[in-house]
Amino acid sequence: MSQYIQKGKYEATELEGEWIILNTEQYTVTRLNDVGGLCWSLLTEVQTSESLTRSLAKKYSSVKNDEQIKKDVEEFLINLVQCGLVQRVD
Amino acid sequence: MQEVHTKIGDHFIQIICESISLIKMFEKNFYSFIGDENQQSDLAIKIENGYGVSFKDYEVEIIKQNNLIYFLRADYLIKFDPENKYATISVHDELALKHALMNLYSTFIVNQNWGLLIHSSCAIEKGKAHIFAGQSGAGKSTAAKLSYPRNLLSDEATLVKITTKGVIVYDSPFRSEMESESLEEQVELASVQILHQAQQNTKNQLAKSEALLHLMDKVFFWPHCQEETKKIMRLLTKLVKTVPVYEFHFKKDNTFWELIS
Amino acid sequence: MILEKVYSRPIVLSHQPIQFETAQSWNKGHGNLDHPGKGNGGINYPNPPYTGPRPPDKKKKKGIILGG
Repeated sequence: MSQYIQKGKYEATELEGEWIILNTEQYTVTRLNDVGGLCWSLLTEVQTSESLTRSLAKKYSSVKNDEQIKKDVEEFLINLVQCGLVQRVD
Repeated sequence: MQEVHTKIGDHFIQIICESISLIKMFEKNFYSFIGDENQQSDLAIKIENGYGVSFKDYEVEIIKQNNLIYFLRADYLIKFDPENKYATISVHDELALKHALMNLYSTFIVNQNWGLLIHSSCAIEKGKAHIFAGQSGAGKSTAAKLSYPRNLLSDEATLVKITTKGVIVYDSPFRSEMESESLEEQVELASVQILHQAQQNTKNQLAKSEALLHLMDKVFFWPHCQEETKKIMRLLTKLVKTVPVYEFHFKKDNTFWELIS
Repeated sequence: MILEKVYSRPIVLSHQPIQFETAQSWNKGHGNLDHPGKGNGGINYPNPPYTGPRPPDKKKKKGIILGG
């Protein structure tokens, strides 16, 4: 199971349910939606797609389909790695 | 040695200069007065000429060393000591001086967490300021010209002081075409327009996060360290929290003012 | 009753390099590209031998360079 954590130095701002992540090392700025921002803030500590799915399923208990959340989370993690915001810790 | 005092935003600035011609240029473009010598200055600048070659390009090399920041362009050299609020500007000519002062002042106000210089024009309507920003060619200066007879606070670089209570626009001495009337005015900012030329006048309010990103690349700034870039982000966050930002499509006549205020 | 937020999948909405404006305009009509030597009382910025500050010696430099 792959583990992920935030990478580098950041300044994050939440504005009306969206997040702006300023990466001062790579000199990039990334905008995330509400749930994306929540995942991002959880990634200050090591997470797996499973642990993130559990956190989301707990917060959004009306969603019955955990498998769908896990798929969404895995896709999101790939995007975050591509943006240079998180890294795998193996 | 000549000494001139000026005020930009609410900062008192002391200028020391050997060259009479550079002082004349300074007096032409900046609201200057032979100051009250007892006035405590917020920033002291020594200006020297004879540096480098005439304008080549906008490439600025930035070096940090021993608490000093150096900005080097082919036609100017700035040596800035933020702690002691002292700078030396060495220039080749008048244009270099104008650009170097802008480079230095933007560095100074971000360093002080005071505010920003935003690439835009700004006009006053009914006692409130309205900013027009956009990509080059989008119509910033057209909007400024079409705003006549309203007073202009800027036609190129709008000077905004950002606090949690609100955003105040000051008359900008950093002008492109329209000379400053040396208004000693401070006007509350009521709106920001991101301009696009179109057949019809329309406006849509942007989400705050999008607004922040639209404004970021319009801030005049020469980044020299991570901490300062964070300061800009925090200042812009305050700005978009207090002032609405619109995507503004306009046709090139003065009817666009009907959509404002 | 507290309404639970609706779930929407986590998304990266945008990702871009940080850029600032570093190009000022010319003084149109007061341009300086081809200075005719007027407007300053005929003084066209004579350049006496320059003795002012120089950029720091790059070979010895320990500072950070950004941009450039």
